[in-house]
Amino acid sequence: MLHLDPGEKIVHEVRKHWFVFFAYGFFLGIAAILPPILFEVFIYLVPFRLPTEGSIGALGMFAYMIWLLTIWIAFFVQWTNYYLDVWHVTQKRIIDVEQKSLFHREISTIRFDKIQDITVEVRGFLATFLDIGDIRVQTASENSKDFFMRSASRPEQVRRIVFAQHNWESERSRPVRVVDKDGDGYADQPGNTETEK
Amino acid sequence: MQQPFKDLPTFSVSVGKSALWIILIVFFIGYATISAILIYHWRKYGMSNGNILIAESLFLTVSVILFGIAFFALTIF
Repeated sequence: MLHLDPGEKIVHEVRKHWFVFFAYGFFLGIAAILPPILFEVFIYLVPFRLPTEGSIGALGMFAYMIWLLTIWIAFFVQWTNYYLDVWHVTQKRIIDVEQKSLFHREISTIRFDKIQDITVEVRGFLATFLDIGDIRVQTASENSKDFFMRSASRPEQVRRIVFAQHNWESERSRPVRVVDKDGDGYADQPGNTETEK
Repeated sequence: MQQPFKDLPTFSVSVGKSALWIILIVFFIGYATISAILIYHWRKYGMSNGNILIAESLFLTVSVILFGIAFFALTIF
């Protein structure tokens, strides 16, 4: 479970484009309609008698429902891995949740002041047409790795949002000089600054 | 058109009703386990997202329908 600071809100969520998942869903759709077709071809080609007790239709329906349930589960396992693999952009930071499998998650965060650059790469006709691209967030820190998402949805919009949040956060925490008004000479000393928060 | 493999020996498979019930029960146990794992993930990491709630409802509704048809098929078998 993600723990946000008090008052911290998610302003944007970044996921892989739906087309990435659609390809897998399409494959499962084909797998769902294939058994009845294959069965018809099989009983046409090979002399086959089924079963010795009970109704063939009921048996076929039972087997097909089990097959469809298997595909239904596989679909949602894949969807879960797709949907929970996300970047949460908040007012303060980016939280990268890498859902590698059902029991393998990695969560890392980067605050906006540690972001050095954001690179967006859109390659190919389909990627341009569907607005799919790779996003890399480079960090200033040597200890933390870059954030990378392949085939992200609307990458340019993501970059704009992250930069907007980054600028807003920088403006908010810019140091201000406090001018001495009462003449005690204290606040005028170099380095005597306060930070607006 | 003649069957191209009509000269092959014919074979038959005997499937008993009780065996099919056992298959359904075993499959249901597996399904329930995976469903529990999925629902745990959706509720814990889904951040109460609306799409997660829709997905959960859709998953369970369609599953009930498919299990219902499988159950019906076995009762008339």
